[in-house]
Amino acid sequence: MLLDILMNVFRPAMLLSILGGVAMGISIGAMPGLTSTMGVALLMPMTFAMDPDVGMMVLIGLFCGAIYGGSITAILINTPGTPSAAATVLDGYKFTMRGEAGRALGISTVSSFGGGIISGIFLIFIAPILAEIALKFSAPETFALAFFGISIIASISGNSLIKGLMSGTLGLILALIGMDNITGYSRFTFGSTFLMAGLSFIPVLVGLFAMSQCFLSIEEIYERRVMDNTTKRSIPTLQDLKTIFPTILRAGITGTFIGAIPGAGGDISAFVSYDMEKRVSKHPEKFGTGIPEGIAAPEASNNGTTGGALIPLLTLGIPGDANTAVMLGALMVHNLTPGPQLFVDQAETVYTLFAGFMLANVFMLILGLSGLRAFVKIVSIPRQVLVPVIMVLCTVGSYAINNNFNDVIVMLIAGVIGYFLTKGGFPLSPIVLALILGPMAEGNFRRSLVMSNGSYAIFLERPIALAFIVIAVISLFLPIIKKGIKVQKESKASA
Amino acid sequence: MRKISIITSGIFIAISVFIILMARTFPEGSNGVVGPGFFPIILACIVILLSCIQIYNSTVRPSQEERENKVNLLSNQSIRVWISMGITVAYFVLMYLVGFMISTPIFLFVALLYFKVKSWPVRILVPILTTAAVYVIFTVLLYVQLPAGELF
Repeated sequence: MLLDILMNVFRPAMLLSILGGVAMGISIGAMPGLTSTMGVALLMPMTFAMDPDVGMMVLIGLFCGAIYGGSITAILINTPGTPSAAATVLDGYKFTMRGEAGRALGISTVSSFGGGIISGIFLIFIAPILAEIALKFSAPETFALAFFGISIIASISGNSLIKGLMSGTLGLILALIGMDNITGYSRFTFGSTFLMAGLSFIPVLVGLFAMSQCFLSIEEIYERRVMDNTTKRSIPTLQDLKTIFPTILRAGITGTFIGAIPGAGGDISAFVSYDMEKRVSKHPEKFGTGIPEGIAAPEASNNGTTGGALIPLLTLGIPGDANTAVMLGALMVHNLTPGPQLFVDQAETVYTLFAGFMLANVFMLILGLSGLRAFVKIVSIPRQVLVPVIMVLCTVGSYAINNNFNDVIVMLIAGVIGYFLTKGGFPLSPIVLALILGPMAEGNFRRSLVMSNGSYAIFLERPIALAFIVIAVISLFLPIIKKGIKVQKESKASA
Repeated sequence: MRKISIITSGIFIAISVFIILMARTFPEGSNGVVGPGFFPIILACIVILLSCIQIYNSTVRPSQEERENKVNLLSNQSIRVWISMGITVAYFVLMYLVGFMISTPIFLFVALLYFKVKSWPVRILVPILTTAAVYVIFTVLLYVQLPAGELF
């Protein structure tokens, strides 16, 4: 089987699609305002005509590339290209101010590569074990897992717990539209046959993550980004490599684990690792002044999340973040239902994706060290031109899924709603994840009740289901309890 | 941001009330298994509860983020977004009528003009090349039929 997989990965079509995905990912990631989720959502329709594994590799390559690409603008112009590069700005831009932009970019490239490879190793070894355990899950466990996923997503994304929960519940409600899959009753379709099958997931996603982002970019459409294109050597010195090696190890592992938690992505893990490095460092006061560890920690960590996020996606069918949520949609279109069964029925495809993931990181390293000038040039395309073109791509992308004009309208509505929700401080990723996990939770909840003849005790009698439900409830109430304690302490202090 | 939080929460409540009213007409469950209306009603109640908390939070004790982030939906920047949304709607109507291949270059040209792109070659070439590239990628390579338009 190993030979088959290697033969499959080293096909020219496969190599080209990974390379193309990574290159596009770096460009998209490097442009402030274009996020990795937007890139994956926009490119997804183009992968439908490809073989499932080739199409998925384009998206995985793009995902890895985009998370890394965000650091280029973070270092060069003090603006993170994606939210996950926000922590890289702290030390990265200091290098540019000292005239050492090339050195900083080199450190970031190697760290991203290191983080990606570490997470890939975890992915390859942990995913099959997890899948084996998950194979034993039945309806109550799956319900509990979906419930756990939704609760954790709502409680950790965004700054406000209530707003996160509201977004999540909105997603759950949107998921109700269409035919009820247990009784066949149509809910909230208003007599429309288009809505019978439920809201198509991809147009909603393109609207929420790409179209709404276009509207947000229009606010600052005249902002100019002038970038220094004279960066020369970007291959790190042996001395730098020695300094950042332990950092990459620690941050890569942290990133992988944070990435595997549903809802927590590269932006959170980058800050966690930065903070952690500062604590273990012998010279914590130097963080923020432009030291190699300050770039290596967030960059290894955010690329660590890429492999981490793929673990729950492939083994449990639960996306680790918004990027993998889009990939879940892509897998479904290719008739690959993510979950433990995938490891039984499509083992070769799964392992091809693993091998491709490693290769994507190698391409990222090569492109990052050699093609920097080209990426800097791409980033200089003015927003005034870029935004309308992306709007056209959003339109085509959402139409191409079902060749249905109604999907385009759904996309625009989702885009407008996404714009206003962002303005009001409501996080968008809970909506999308709830849209996926909602039907999973509801269907399995009712199926469990069928199994137990209506007795709710079924959720408490099964240890795995009970454990997930308990963790979910704790994760929902912990922030509230913490806040309560804080308020009490403050009032005591003032009294 | 405070105002927009409150308005959004209000809209959430209105939608939830509507959902509850609709879901009450759904068939009942049988054999102790809940019917199709069970989840919608539960969710709508949760949304109403959360929205009330949010409205209370935003009016009585707004978070630092809410106090510092002033959102003005009538500022120059916001009006630019409103107009862009209008242009997009017009683009979709036009696409519905005359198809993708005609509406897209027109939309791009208008958008570039509106966003004050000065260079004429850009104004002309970007619309033509983008439309051509989409046509080649989707119709020629991926066999996706782009909207052809009702009038043709």
